[in-house]
Amino acid sequence: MATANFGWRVVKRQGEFNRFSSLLVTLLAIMLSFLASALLLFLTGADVGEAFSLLLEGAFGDQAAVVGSLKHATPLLFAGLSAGFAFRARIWNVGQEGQIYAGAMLAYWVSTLVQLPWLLMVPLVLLAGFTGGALLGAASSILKTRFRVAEIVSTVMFNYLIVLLLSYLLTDGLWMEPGQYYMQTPRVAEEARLPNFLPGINLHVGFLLAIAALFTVHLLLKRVTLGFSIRAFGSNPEVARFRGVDPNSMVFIVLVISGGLAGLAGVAQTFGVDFRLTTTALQGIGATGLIVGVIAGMRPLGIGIAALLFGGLAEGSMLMEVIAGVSSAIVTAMQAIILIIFISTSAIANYRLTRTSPNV
Amino acid sequence: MSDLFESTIIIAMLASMLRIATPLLLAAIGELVVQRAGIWNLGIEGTMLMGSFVAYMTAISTGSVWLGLAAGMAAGVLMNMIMAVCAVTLKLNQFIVGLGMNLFAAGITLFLYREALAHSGGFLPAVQTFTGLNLFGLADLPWVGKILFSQQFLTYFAFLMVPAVWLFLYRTRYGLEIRSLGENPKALDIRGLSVSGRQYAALAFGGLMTGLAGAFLVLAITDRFVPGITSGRGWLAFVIIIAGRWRPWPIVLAVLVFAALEAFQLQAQGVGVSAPYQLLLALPYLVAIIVMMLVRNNRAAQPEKLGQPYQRE
Repeated sequence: MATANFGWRVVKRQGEFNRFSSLLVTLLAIMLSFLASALLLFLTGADVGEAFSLLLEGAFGDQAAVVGSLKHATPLLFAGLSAGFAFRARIWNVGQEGQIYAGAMLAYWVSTLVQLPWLLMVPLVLLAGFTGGALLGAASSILKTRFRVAEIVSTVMFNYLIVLLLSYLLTDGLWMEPGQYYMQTPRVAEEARLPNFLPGINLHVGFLLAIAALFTVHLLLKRVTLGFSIRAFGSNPEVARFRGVDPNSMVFIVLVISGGLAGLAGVAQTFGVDFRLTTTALQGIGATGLIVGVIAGMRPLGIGIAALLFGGLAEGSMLMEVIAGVSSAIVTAMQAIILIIFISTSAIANYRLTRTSPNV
Repeated sequence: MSDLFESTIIIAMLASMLRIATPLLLAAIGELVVQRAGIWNLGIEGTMLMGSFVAYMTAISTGSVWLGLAAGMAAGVLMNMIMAVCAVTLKLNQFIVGLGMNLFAAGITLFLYREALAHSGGFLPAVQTFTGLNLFGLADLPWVGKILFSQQFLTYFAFLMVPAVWLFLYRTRYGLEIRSLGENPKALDIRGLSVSGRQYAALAFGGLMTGLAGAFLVLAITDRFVPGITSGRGWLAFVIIIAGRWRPWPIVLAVLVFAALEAFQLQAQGVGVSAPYQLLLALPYLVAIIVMMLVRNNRAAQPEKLGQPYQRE
C-alpha cells in the first residue's frame, strides 16, 4: 500500500540465511556491542582506550590470563548449553541460576556425607551436581505437564526459592562454617575438588568435561533419534505429536538434561574454583549462560566462542578494575548490550530492501 | 492491652498492604493492556528495574522526587519501545525479547549503580520520599484513617487506574480495538486500522505504568536503589495478570493476595514469628507457583492471539 510510494520495500528473506551471512551478522553485532560499550565507558568518564586494552590484556595477555579466562568460561559453557538445549526444544528454561545452585548444593551435601578417594569422590560429586539441577528441572517439568504451570514462571520462582533455601542452610549452624562469622560453608574436602589435568597449569578438569558436554549435546541433537524428536518438537510440537513424539516425556527429558547441565556449572565453579558455597558466589552465571545460549543458538561452536568471550571478559575485567578503576560490573552491562544488539541485528538480517516499481 | 497491641499490628499490616500493593497493581494494570493487545511482555521485571534505577538517580541528582517520577516513567516507556521494535515491527520471538530486556536491565543498572557508587565515594544518598496524604482530613480517624486516608497519592492513583482501565477497555471504541488485537487483529487490519500503531500505544502505556511502579519502589517504599530491587515483582505482576484472567477487577484481588503476603512477612519479622525469615521471604514465590497451579483452567480466558506476532497474509 503506502510503502510502494517510496520505491523501496522491506521484504522478508525466504528460508534460512546461509552460514556466511550469519557469521557476518555475528561479527557485526559484536562490533556494534563494543562500540556501545565504549560509549558507556566514555559516559562514565573512563579512559576508553586504556580500559579496553587492559580488558584484552587481562583476558588473553599471557598464559595465566588465558587459563583464568578458560576457568571463567567453564561454568558458562555448561550454563550456555543448558539454555541453548532447552531453547532448541522451545522450552523456556530460564532457571539456570537456581539449577546451578541446586547442583552445587546437592554436590556439597553429598561431599560432606561420605569419605572416598578422589577417583570415586569426584565422579560422585559430579553425578550429585547433575542430579541436583536435574531434580529442579524435573520439578518444573511436572509443574508444566501435570499442573500446566508455564516453565518460564516456575523456573524463575525456583531461582529465588533455591537461594533462600541456601541462605537458610547457611545459618542456624546447619552448613555454616563453625566459628566463623560469614554465611559460608567450610571448604570442601580435598578429595572432592576437581583436579587439574595438565602439570603446572591451574585449570581443573571441569573445563574438559564442559568441552565433552558440548560435543555430547551436539551429537545427541544431530545423530540420535531422541535428538530428532527434540528438534522436531522445538520446531512444531503439533506435527511432532502426530509423528509419535510424546510431548510430556519430551518436556521432562529436555528439562532434566537442561537442569542437569546447569547443575554441572555449579559443581565446576564450587568444586573447581571456590571450594565453598556462599549465597553470592554463583550469582550471575545463570544470566550469562542464558545470554550465551540465546546469542549462540544451539551451534556448539557458537556456544564455545560465546562462553570463551564472556569468560575472557570476566577475567580481563578484574585487571581493568584494579588498574583503570572501572567497575568489573561493566561485563554484565557489555553482555546485556551484546544480547540486545544481537537479537535486533539477527532480526534485521531476516529482511532485505528491494526496489519496487512505481505506480503499483 | 493485648487487644490494643493486636489492633495496632492489624492496622499497620493493612496500611502497609495497600502500599505494597501499589507497584504490583500499577505494573499489572499497565501490562494488562499490553497483553490484551496481544503481546506477551516477559520484560516487565526489567522495565520495572530500569524505571526504579532511573527514578532514583534522577531524584538524587536533581533533588526532586517529581523529576525522578517522570524520569522513571520515561525509562519504562523507552524500555517497552525497544520491546515494541523487536516484537511488533521485527516480529521476533516475544519470549526471547522479553528475556533479553530483563537481562539487559539487570546488567546495565548493576554497572551504572556501581559506577555511581564509586564516583560518590561509596555512598549514595537516600531519596526524600513521598509523604502520605491526609485525604479529606480523615487521616486521624481511628482504624480506617491510617489504612485508607493517609496513603501516598500514587497508591490512590493505582487504585483509580483500575476503573479507568476497565472503562477504557470495555466502554470505549479504542479499548475495543485494543482488545480485538489480542483476539483477531486481522479484523482491524481489514478495516484499515493500524495494528502495530495500537500495539506500540499499548506498550507505551504499559511502560509508563511499569516505570511508575519501579519509581514507586525507590521513591515511596524504600528510599534508595539497590541492584535487583524489584526482586521478582515484575514476574509476580505477570502471574497476577494470568491469575486475574486478563480482567481488571480480578487482577486487583490477585494483587491484594500477594500484597497481604508481603505485609504479613514484614509484620511477622517485627512481632517475632518464630519461622525462619527465609521462609517468610519465600512466601510470594511459593504462592506464585501455587496460584499458577490453581488457575490452570484460566487459559480459556487468555487472549486468543497472545504472543503471536501479526503477519499479513
